[in-house]
Amino acid sequence: MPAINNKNGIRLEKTDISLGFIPLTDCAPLVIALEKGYFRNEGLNVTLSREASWAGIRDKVGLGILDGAQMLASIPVASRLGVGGPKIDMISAMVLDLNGNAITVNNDLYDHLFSIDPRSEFSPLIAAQALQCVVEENKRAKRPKLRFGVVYPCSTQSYELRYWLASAGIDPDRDIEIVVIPPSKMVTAMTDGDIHGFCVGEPWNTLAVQQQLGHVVATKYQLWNNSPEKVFAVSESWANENPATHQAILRALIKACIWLDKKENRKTAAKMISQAPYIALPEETVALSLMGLSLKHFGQMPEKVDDFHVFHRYSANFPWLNHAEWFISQMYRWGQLTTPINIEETVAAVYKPSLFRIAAEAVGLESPSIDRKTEGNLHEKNMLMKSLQIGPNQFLDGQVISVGGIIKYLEQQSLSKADIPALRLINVQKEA
Amino acid sequence: MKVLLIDIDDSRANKIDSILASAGIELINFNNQHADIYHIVGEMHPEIILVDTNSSNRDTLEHLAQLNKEYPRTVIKLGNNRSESINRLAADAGISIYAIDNIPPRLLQSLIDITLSFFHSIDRLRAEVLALKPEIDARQILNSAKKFIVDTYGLTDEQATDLLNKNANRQGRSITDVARQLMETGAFV
Repeated sequence: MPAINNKNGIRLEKTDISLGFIPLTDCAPLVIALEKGYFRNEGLNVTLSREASWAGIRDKVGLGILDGAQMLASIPVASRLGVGGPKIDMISAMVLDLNGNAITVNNDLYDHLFSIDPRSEFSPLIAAQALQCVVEENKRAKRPKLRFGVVYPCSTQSYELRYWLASAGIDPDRDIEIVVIPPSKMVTAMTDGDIHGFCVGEPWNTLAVQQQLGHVVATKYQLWNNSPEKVFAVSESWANENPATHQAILRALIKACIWLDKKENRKTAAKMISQAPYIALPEETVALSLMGLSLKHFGQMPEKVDDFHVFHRYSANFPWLNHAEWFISQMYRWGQLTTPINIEETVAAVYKPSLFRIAAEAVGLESPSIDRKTEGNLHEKNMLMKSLQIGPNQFLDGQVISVGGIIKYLEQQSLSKADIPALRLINVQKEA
Repeated sequence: MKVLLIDIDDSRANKIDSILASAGIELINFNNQHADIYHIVGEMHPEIILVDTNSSNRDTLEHLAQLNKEYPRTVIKLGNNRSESINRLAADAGISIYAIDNIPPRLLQSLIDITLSFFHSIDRLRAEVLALKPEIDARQILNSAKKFIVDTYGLTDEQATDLLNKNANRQGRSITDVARQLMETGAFV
């Protein structure tokens, strides 16, 4: 039955809304929008459904069992293409957060890396090179491959782990073994000796370090500064049937992200999201990374990384089309996607900057007027002033992707399985 | 044919076990949070997997499907069609289905139908029929009342409806009320 939103007089197609989330620190925007009443203020009666797998979230949104959900930023793109799962037409009009993941290795492997090069302690590039030595040693000694865990095959974490490994020439599909383990079981799998390392979102890295199981050797921020992590996604048909409701959800989530990005609110946020219905872990574990403290080694002072979780600044919530292009580039690089497609058209069908702009304007925010930006050209050290509109965007390997230059970038990627000539036939390069 | 059950609790597994066996399907049940899914699927080579929709092992099944085209993959459509029954299997029975590519949609449809019938479908149908009962009763009373008027006064069906409406309006009652009274007392008032 159509309902009236009394406050703003906006007619919503639907007011009882069920949204899915995975217990991770960056489910915070959904939890805060609920707990702080941002959903209610929009006339929405939202239920949050804790889900145990990304496949579950993806299918429930596809089947209409959930109205929408927190998703890995790569999932709507992969689903549109039917890569690593069924083809589901999803869209995303909003990014929920940037950064927030890390790569952790177990104590034995860390000690090994440290003995090869002690700078592995703070340099992800050097740690990867030391790992390459271990991989070679293992090959010579005919020892089994090292095993690394990620949470979903087409996940941001999988691409980040692969990016880090490849930076030192390690082929993730041949030199090591990648297995999929749900976030909540990742630390246990390390305890049991099933895996030597993993790439996962917080708070699981902090927990592994606090339990003295392993050491963080790279953060997502170090791999690609301020890259997208989770998005809010719905199915395309849902979005078409419920445009006003969709906008109401986006407005509430933007307000939650603004609230979350204020330093003074992070402690309260940690308290809320660590509760039993959400992450169900000790507040101290969840609070650390939220407070901008990156704990890499047990017993050491955590490093101050203000941007460990970014929920709003640097135009974080804007669904940049070039970010979706990067995921597609990695699907080609690792042979998950082999059919040549028109990349520009695909990303424009999935990420929806125009829908974001409407919601942002309604809450009094300005949005970027362009849909794509250059990546890798803004280094932390060269930022002249602390801008809230734009943040550092450097890659670990120093690569730069200019607007329209995704295929040229892909061509330069090592170990790539992409068929560049076939891609060039379909994608006309507009780059200067 | 082998069907692997993952994280389906015994109360649900037992319901489908015998019926699938009688159809010549071998059922293997893994309900163990610590089971190594890679090992199990690699050893068993199941054609179909039924897994708890909320199982945390699902993403590992996705990975297996990506690693090897011979392994079952998520089914959310039957052939090219959206399937209400897959939706109900997930929503009502809490079961998601994975199958290898060669399994025809017809077979999956039958499997899903049978599985569903062993869960809430009968209860649900009963509840839905019950929920609709007042409306159905009202419809029938209205029809008998109209028929009574047509037979008794020689009016057309439309005129009979008008007559009932007029009486209902005048008395400030629902048309069903007036019809019921007419059938019980033979009079409009």
